[in-house]
Amino acid sequence: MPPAPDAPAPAPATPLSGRPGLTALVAAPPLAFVGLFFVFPVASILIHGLTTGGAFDPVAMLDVLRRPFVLDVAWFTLWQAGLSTALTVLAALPGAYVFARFDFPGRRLIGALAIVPFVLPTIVVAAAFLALLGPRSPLGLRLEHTVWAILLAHVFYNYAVILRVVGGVWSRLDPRLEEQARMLGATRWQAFRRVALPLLRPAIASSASIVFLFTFTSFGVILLLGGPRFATLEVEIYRQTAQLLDLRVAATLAILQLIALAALLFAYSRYQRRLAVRQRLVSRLQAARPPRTLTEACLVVGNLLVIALLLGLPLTMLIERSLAVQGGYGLGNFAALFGESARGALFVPPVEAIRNSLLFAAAATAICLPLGLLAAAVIAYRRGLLPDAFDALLMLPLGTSAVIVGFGFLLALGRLPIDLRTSVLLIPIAHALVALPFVVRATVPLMRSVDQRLRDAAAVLGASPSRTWRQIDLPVVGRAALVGATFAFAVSLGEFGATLFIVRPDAPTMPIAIFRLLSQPGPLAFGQAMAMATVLMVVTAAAALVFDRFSSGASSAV
Amino acid sequence: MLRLSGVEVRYGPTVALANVDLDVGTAEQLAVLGPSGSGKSTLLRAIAGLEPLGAGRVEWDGRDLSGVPSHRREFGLMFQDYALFPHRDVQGNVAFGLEMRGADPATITARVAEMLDLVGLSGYERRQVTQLSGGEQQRVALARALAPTPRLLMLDEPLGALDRALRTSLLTELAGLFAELRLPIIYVTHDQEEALAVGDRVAVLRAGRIEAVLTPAELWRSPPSEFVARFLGLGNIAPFEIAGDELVTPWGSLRPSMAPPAGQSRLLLRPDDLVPDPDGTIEAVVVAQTFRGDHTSLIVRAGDEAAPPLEFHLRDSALPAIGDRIRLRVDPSAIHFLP
Amino acid sequence: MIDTIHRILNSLLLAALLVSCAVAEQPILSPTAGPTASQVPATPVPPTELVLMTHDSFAISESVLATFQRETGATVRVLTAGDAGSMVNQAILTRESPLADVLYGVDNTFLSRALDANIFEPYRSRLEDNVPPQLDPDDRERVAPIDYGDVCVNYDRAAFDSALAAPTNLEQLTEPAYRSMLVVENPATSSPGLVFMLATIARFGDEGDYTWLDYWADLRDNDVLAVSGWELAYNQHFSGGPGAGDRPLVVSYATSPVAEVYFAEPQPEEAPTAVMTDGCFRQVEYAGVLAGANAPQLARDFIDFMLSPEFQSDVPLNMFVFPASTQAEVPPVFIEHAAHVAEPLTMEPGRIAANRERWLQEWTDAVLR
Repeated sequence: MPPAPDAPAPAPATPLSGRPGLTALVAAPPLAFVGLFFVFPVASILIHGLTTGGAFDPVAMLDVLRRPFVLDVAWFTLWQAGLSTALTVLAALPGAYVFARFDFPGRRLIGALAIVPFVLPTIVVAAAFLALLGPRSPLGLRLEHTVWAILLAHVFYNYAVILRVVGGVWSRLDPRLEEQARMLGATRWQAFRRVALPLLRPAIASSASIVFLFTFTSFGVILLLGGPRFATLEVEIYRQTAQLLDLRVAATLAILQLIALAALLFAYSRYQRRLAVRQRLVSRLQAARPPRTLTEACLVVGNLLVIALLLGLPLTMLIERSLAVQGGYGLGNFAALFGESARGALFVPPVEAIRNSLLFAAAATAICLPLGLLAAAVIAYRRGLLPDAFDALLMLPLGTSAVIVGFGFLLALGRLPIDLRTSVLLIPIAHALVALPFVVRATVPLMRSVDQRLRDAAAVLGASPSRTWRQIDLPVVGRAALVGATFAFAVSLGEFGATLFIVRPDAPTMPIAIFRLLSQPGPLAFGQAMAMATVLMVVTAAAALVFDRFSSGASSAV
Repeated sequence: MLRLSGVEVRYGPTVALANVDLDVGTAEQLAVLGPSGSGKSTLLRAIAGLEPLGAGRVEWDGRDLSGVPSHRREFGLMFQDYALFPHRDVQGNVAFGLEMRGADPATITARVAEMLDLVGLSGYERRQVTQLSGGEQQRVALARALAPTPRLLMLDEPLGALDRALRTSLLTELAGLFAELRLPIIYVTHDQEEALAVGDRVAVLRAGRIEAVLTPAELWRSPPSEFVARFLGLGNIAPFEIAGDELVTPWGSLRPSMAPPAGQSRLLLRPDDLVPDPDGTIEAVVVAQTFRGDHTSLIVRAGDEAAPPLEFHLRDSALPAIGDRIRLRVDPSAIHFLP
Repeated sequence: MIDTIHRILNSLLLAALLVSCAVAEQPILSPTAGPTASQVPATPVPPTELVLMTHDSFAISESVLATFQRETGATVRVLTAGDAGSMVNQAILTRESPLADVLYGVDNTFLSRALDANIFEPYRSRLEDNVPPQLDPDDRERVAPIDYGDVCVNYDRAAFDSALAAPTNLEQLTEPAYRSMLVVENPATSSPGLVFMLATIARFGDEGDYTWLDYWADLRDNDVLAVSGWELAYNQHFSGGPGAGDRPLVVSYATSPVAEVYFAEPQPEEAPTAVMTDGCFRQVEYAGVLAGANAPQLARDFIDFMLSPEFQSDVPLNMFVFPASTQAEVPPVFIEHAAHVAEPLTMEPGRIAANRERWLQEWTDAVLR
């Protein structure tokens, strides 16, 4: 590690230290965005729900909370999220190691493919898992509509989060630390546990918190794969809001969900700050090599097998379904998808759905990337209660029911001079809200790890603070931002829930198009839906590969 | 105790070490000297078991280490940038090796205190390693390497990142410490002053091959090749031709005390062996002066245009100025021949 | 360059926030598409856009929509808002400042709620004369029936033969011969599921010796499978569906067999699935002019248009429901393969609205717990 100057160094200065004016300016845009498109709508609908007979009556919540089913639902939500997160971390950690430290043929491709599940709409995943675990299970496993189906689907979805975030940091961990540990008598496992793991804790905690968030607010998987027997807070909120319009119960549950999550996030954010260790990160090329021993080769192959089974098998079922036509296999469904459609004005040609999806994803990424970087700057460069609270605030959209946000838009945005409620813009805005945390999560740890002495060197050479930031921090940040942007793009491509609950003009995205096709009777519609899902998979994988080229693999493991 | 025979290490198509034979005795200090990229770090990694061998053997006390993984070799290795564990304090770092051996807490605490005392950092147990100065970090790294009583200690450019004054004082300290420890020690450096000070023997490494293994005195007095000579800072090298009793060099004629051995076609004049003398056989013009504290180094040009510059040292205060003509004399027995 | 873009974006967002704070206290404005009160021109410009709010299953031929656009000179903008229930609730929520001019797709299970919330402006089209009166429940003429369908139990022909005949009435579904064969949808999250539940209530009632809850208890004993949505039930679990599941009985629509024929290549002579006509419940879809609409006249014109033969004839093969108007031309494939339910079960919309939540809870307790 680079030796510090002779006097012990004070707490590291950052580009925003002691500059409250600049900090406020930097924090303003993301705050404004989240304030306008999240806090305002959600507050509107919650207040509306808790207003009885014209008067705001929060005490009405207590009535609802006393109902026994509320506690059951809350408890189920909590434990299935915790278990799902634990299982995902356990499954993906060895994978992260393999991708971070070893070079093997197809590493890039498989890494890009790992992100595909993340993107798939739950309705498609439900179909794939039911094919795997349901009545016609090729594995002979009947797990449909059990908790296990839910847990497996959650791991399937979130594997990539752990793989990329933890793998990204792991690939840049100085391997000499572990080598040193080995020289001091540590076995490989001990070197991992005592040296690598503590240094990976921030990344693990960070990605695990995202996985927890997703599984806590999981909707489609619980509803479709779990079935009517299972209900999480999110499912209940949907029912109460969209189906029953009982906004009082919905608001209560939503507030419950928000409080639980806000508390968790806040605690996590403070814990994260304590965990952050300033260390020198090396470039990926230094750390990766082909497997040399039999053990290493087994490790690599073993993990690839896990990925093949866990991630690849459901995807393969999808592809198989898309190729199933009357009397065998063929490309009939794809032909029908891209060919002349007998349907009317509202059955949008799939090419348009693909185009819409890509446009929305690009717009959403363009919105949330600069906002995310600004927010990350505030969180990384300032200490104290306010940045932590800001961090938690930014994560809240991930943990808030999409229905609440969607209905909130209807109430709140109608009060603005420009009626955005039926505007096409609302879709990328909603996507950006959901994607913002990813950009922040990916960039904050790396922003924090930049050595102040590099900035000092730049300053001495004549660079102003903003130039210093651009020359020194931005390259590091830039590559990490690309990792976040990949997630953001993927999230937007596969975003289904929020888009479903926004009143929208007829510009369906791929997931919506798939949903529509699945809701139509007839064998052709189903085949086309599977074909579209396959197209969605391919488009996502392609996007992930493109992003990887740009980031030149220096910031992420894959 | 440690023997390398025909060791070869490859990184893909590149050969990092080729045909390396080395011996280190029980309480011997071997310095490995070489420029950057010569394979010094690779050598240590190969001995440590961190790099697989393409060919050859590493033996300890007669036994082949090829099946022994790194964590069981009980070799101490101190990396160039110390590789201190940033998430542990000083105590946590130094105690690591002992923890791996399964020592009990009381033993650990005592030993850590002992090590810190040895390196002059008593009381530093609770300090954060990220907030230590360079010299302090180096000592912690040393204490950490020594705490689990390794059988062999390897140091990779331990003083490389420190300032000159610190380097000089630490060098003396280290030399004294090594003498106390009575361990086989391999000390890798690119600095000849360190190598000559620390090593009982010095191995010169060039492009992955051992160029020579000699005692410091031998190395200094009789460098075996031009490369070694230049690496030691001895640059007065030129080809010569025999003319009867004399040697004709680009700088002028010299009379050696003995005939050059067969196969040697160049000669070396050490800076300290060149003395100003009005009767000297080398006529030169002063072109540069560098004050070096205890002496001044003067660069002169002698002989024809193509002749390499000559360097010699003066300790007086009466120095010739730049542009002055002077004459230099060489002690006939101080002419050293190179291949 | 990229810094400039950042700065512009940031300033815009900041401005948006500041402006929104300033106007938050003002009364709700209606969507601005036409002239405001303060700029009254000499001759008002008629709105040239009709906004239709509907659910995700809406589909109509482009040529038919083009007819309306040609006749009125106005473009049609369609907003989709989830499923029927979600759509109605969103319409209710935005009553003060509606998002559209016409709401189409509210069905009889949600009608009462929509009417009670007063989201419609009454209008009776002359073309409603062509609609059978039993489809029209509202004497205050606030909505017009556009199409109807029946929710029935569908069965896979291949699973039944001389050894075991397909069931012909609801009671048979509780018999051991049909054990583990039926898949239904959760009425709390699925429209056909809700309608089927209503069918059982209409049939067995909630008082007396054998109530609808007893029926469901029997179904449960007979290993009925309840899933969250029609897509799952039909596409995954139904043996006659594309997923080739293991249950030959599913709650679906009377027109599902038509789709099985129409979309197959080549089209078979006989549909592979059929409908159990007992226990079918009629589901009617309505359209209405939204109160406070921006283009009320256009909205009325559109209601007329939806009842016109051209539109009505286009409905069957697009949405797989029957047209309400007797003037419509129903395609032969429909007539041939769709089940004709002579006396479907029905229920008064007010009763549905009053008891829905209680019934859902009772159903959940009886079937899922």
